[in-house]
Amino acid sequence: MAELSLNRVSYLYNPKTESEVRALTDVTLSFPERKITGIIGHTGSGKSTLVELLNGLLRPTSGEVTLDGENVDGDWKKKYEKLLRYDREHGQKTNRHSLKKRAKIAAAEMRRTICFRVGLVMQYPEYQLFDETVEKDIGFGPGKMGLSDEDIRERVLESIRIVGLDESILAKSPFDLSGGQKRRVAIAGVLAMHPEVLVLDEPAAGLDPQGRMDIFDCIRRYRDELNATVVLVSHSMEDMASFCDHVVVMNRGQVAMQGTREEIFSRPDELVRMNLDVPQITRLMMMLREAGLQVPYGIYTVEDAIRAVSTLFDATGQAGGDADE
Amino acid sequence: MSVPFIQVENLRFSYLEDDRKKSEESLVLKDISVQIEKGEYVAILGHNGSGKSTFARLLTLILEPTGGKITVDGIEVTDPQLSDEELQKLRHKIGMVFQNPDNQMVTTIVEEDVAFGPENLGLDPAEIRRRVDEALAAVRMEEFSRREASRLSGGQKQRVAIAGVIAMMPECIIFDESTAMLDPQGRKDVLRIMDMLHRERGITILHITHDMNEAARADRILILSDGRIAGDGTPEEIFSRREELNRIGLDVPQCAGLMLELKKRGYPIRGKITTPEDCVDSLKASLYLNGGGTVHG
Amino acid sequence: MNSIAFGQYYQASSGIHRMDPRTKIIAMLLFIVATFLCKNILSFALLILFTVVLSLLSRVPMRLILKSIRGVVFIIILAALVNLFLTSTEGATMIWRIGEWNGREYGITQEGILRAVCMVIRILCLISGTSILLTFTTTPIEMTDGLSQLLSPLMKIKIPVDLFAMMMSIALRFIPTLIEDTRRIMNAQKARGTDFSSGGLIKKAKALIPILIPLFVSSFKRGEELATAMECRCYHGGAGRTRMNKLHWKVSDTMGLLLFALLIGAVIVLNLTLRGVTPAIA
Repeated sequence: MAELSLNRVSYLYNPKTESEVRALTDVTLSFPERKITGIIGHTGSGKSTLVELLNGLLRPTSGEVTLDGENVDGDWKKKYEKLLRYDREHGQKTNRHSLKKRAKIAAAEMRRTICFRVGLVMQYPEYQLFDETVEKDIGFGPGKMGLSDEDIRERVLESIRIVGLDESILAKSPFDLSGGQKRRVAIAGVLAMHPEVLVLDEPAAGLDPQGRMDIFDCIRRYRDELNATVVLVSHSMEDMASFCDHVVVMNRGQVAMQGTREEIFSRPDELVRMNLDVPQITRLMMMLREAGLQVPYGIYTVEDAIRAVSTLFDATGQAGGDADE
Repeated sequence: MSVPFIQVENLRFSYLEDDRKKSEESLVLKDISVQIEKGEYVAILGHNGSGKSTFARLLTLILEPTGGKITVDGIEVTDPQLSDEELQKLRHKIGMVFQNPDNQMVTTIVEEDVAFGPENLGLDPAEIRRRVDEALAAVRMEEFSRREASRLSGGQKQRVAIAGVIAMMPECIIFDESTAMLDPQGRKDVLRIMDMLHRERGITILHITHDMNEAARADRILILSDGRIAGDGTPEEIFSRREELNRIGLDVPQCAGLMLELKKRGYPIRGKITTPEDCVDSLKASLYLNGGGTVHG
Repeated sequence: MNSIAFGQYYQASSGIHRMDPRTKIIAMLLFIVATFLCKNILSFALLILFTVVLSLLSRVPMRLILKSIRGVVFIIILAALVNLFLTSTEGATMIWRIGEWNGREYGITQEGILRAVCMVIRILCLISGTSILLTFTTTPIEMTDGLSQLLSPLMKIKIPVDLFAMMMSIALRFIPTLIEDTRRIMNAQKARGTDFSSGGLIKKAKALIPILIPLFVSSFKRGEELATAMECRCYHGGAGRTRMNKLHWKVSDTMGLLLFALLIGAVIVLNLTLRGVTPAIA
């Protein structure tokens, strides 16, 4: 169970000063469990702010981010109000003092554990590597969780396998690895904390096609093995189309569209109007439509396109050469 | 003139200092021979660690080759007898734009950064001013000239970096994965500037990338794999060798993938396949030839 | 988001903003000399007047100037107390006698109060005057340029002023980048469970290791790439380098400097003519 949702979340940078910037306005969202949700939008659309709100790095200016119904930023007042409301609704006598105490304990626990429950892989995560060996670095997060040495070792081995690296790498210094390996070790460091929700900001940026595939494979493997929910921010529409189950489109700090990828990519015109890219294959299909060819909407993978275009050819074969122009 | 602009012969390079340790394995570049003509637009493709960036650094005379010869504009740049002055002169013929825009800006204010190169050339202040204004206008950043570079977006920073190179008036610009860290808008802007520099100013463009869609814009693609040239041809020729590309960790653009697969399944595909525009034309032509029954005006 | 206020530069268009940084550096030195030359009430009054006019001319809001003073309040109080209690009581008009110790009388005297007040004025003027002349109206880059040009005669005795200026300029350029790097790395480590706020000093220091090491690594990488980029742009040290923006000494700069020289002159004249007429201080 890991239901991560945002309820009417707004965020302002430097509120009530001259340099106030509104980053998010009234965002209500929930991330489907055990699914991969992609967030797209151009720079300044509020994506990055959204990511930092998900694990409590930022606190919403108003509204609430909750994990299984609990506020993730560890604000005890919100928890207190919730307990108070619960008591009132259930007609229970309220001991305000003990409620406050309970709320504070719960909030502190949330603050301590939220980063382990919602794991965040930042952009260019290889820059967070610091320890002497790969093993120590991956074990850093689990160590902070207070796990025993054997458990840490187990987690390290498991996550190095999930990211598809060989165990022999564990004894090396993380600074001696290649770019792609560093990236995967950094991701393993987050996976080792077994987050229920895994949030990744441009995890494949700057990698070559094979490197990108490897990263997406290991994210998928983690989701499948640990039943985790995945939230992925990316600029690459082609990666989104081939990899995500759900897509959220952000525009000017608000949710502009959300739905399954079929739903989103069958409305390419709207994406284009928001100045966003569509997968190249979708663009080709749009152009074919404009040229008067009958291809269906909602094509976003090469496989679908092959099917659609072969139908066109087959139709011409059957039609036997009568053009209606 | 039959001398190519850049001529590379049997280029070898190892990062190891000690000559004895330079075994075949330590060589980042094993044996590269290639010629690039003035005014060409070449994409250099290769997976991470294929030696692309090393190759670029050798061309800009930042690194010295372990073996082989590089000639730029008829002058052998690898000649150890070359004086520092001659080296400097050669160096401003070939400019380079790097991957991370943050790591190539020297000063805080945009126009002062653009002026950095011309200042190093010891030009007259009025001439520097003229070049800086012209270069900033070319990348459409003139209104940002007095701004602080740190407050610009990644794409804007990269445009300033390009202006810094333009102001040196190079004959060739190497873009070393200059779009890799940018958002889609920034990418588009930089790619458009590359096209403009190539078309309007006749500047030779070498674009190092692993984005196949970007490589498709070039006239010619060089493929580097494991320190060797694994392919050299037009995008059309290169993309038709899909299996080979896959083997070295690369792929073809989606539209080329579609066309190749259709061809493989026996559909009569004629014409170009590198860009969506080409594909639309080719598909239309192929379908018409085949009867064109589903075309609705 | 990215607007990290750097230094205390206040963007405005004023005569002082437009002054050549070299003028402002010299003017600041003259101003410091003037504050220390002040010896009687009238010269202090002149100093206050001059500072107020300076702040009005600069168009820097008063609250910002007061803010910059807030940082040195402790020093001002200390200086005031020292002067109040430790001014020699010999021949002074005692107001409140504390007692005698080691054959010396201690207490608050009229002279002590006067000295304390003047010391406070002196520090206030010193801080606000110098910050108006430099930090508020001069960008760090202008300051570097001004300083390196003022010091350029030192090149003759083989002190590489141009190299220092280049280093300074690069350092200034990279401060916002480093701040952003630090923020990013801190967030990444927070996301891995590092707690920077709780625990004792040792625990807090330990929590910095995962920040500092990546910060060093990325800074070295940036440095290396920057060096390559500079070399590609034909940087080969200061020799033969020209500058696009040369500093221009204007008539107004000469006038400005004259005003500061006049201030010193006036203070000296006041000191001399009023000797014995008003109580001398310090």
